[in-house]
Amino acid sequence: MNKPNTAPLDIKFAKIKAVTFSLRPAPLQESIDALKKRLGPTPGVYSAEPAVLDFSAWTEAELIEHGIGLGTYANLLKAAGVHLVEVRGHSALLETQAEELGLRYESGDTETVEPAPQATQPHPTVPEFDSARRTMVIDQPVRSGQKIYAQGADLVIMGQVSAGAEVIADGNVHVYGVLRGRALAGAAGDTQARIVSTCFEAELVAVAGYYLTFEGGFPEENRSKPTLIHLDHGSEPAVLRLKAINIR
Amino acid sequence: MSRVIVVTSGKGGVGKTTTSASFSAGLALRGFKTVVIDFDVGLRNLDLIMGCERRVVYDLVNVINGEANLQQTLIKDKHCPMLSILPASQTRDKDALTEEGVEKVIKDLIEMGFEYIVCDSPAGIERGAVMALTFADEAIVVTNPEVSSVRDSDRIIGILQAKSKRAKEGGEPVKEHLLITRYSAKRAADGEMLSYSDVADLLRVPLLGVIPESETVLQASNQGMPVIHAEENDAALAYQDCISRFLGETKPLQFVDYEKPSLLKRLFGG
Repeated sequence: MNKPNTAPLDIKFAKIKAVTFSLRPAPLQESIDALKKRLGPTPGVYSAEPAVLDFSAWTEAELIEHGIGLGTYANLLKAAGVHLVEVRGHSALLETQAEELGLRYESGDTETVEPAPQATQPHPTVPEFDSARRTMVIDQPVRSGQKIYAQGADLVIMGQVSAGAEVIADGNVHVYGVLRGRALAGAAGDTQARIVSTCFEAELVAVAGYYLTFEGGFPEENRSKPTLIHLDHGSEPAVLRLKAINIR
Repeated sequence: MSRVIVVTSGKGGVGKTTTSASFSAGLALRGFKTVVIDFDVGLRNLDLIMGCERRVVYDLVNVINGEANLQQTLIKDKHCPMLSILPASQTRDKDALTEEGVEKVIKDLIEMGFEYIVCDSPAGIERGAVMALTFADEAIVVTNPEVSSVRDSDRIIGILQAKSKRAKEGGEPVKEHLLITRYSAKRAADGEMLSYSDVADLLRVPLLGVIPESETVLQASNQGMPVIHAEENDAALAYQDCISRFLGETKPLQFVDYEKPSLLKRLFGG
């Protein structure tokens, strides 16, 4: 038996997962607008998430040409409840600005999770956001108070999602069982993401920040039936729609 | 082989202590050496239900702190010689429970030859409840047929699957049993209450039994007697059936069907 550790302090290095916002060279206002759009109409999709702003696609000249405006990004993220922790890029100018804002600066490219080989094939409709790299499969029922987040991946639940439970994915959410809790797909902004449930009784569904609640009850063709939830881009603004599906 | 059973629910007032008392007494009546532990430190109740409140000298926290040993602390039940009670402390709070302390108590009880160790969990999902379920091999989830109780049970099952030692060590999961208490077949038939099958369906946990609502439960509690000892009582019979099912026997559910009284019965009284 090991001696119980009674030291008042232990030091370990912890890796944290962070949302990375990679910006491509563009005029400042355009970048700001893109980020604003990505953060979604409802604050909270990324709230409380640590975040990295990645300028590694920019050259120093492009940064000077378009202006950096790190403070503007930082304020925008702060307003959405996101904790900006690090700025990445290849620019001394960027480093100075980051330091002024008290942010960590890292020189170089963002280390991201390698996409699975099959996902590197060009997709016919490549979403702007590279989601659905992997699939997280949960074989147990998800109970009230539990929260499952499939980061950068699809989420498959083989069982029910109880009322008060939350299932969240950057990709699609599939529930092969009764969905009574909340399901959020495209949590990182993928508007193409979908939610599928074989028995729909959800408290709330959301895709890329667009959400629906069902205080007035469920539509007859969806209640306790196989249902697909997707974002309809045909209308402006986009609308979240429920669609009865036939799985027989 | 000793088994540690936690009686839990999340929600308060659904019948955890009543169930712990009757279930441990039922196991002891079948000849198993059983101990029931009150984990509700600060809100001690089990001693009252077991009718041993005047015999409490030391308590669980004393044992954990090494101020008393188990032999001094365990109280022999007055109804069945195979049953012992380990009371909670009334003057302390749940922070007095440490994982190492609880683990040692349970290990020592196993060494003393107890075959069933029943842990009566406090309500809530905080320290006391987590300590009660940490070392469980099996869990009896006590649920009333109403939505808030069902949701709280669902929550505690999630915690069981995340925080129990079995879950953390990745062993065989804690075996869950659903026990529905305070059930009224008539009110379920009238749609005033969830039916037992609705509850089982919502929670997806194997049903151990259904205990009918009975005035005798309160009377027995007030007299300091686990209701399972009551004669010719529905709740007592239902608890007996639960013990049988727990021990692997097949017993049909009783007191779950409601038959409308016939016209004659209604006119002239049953």
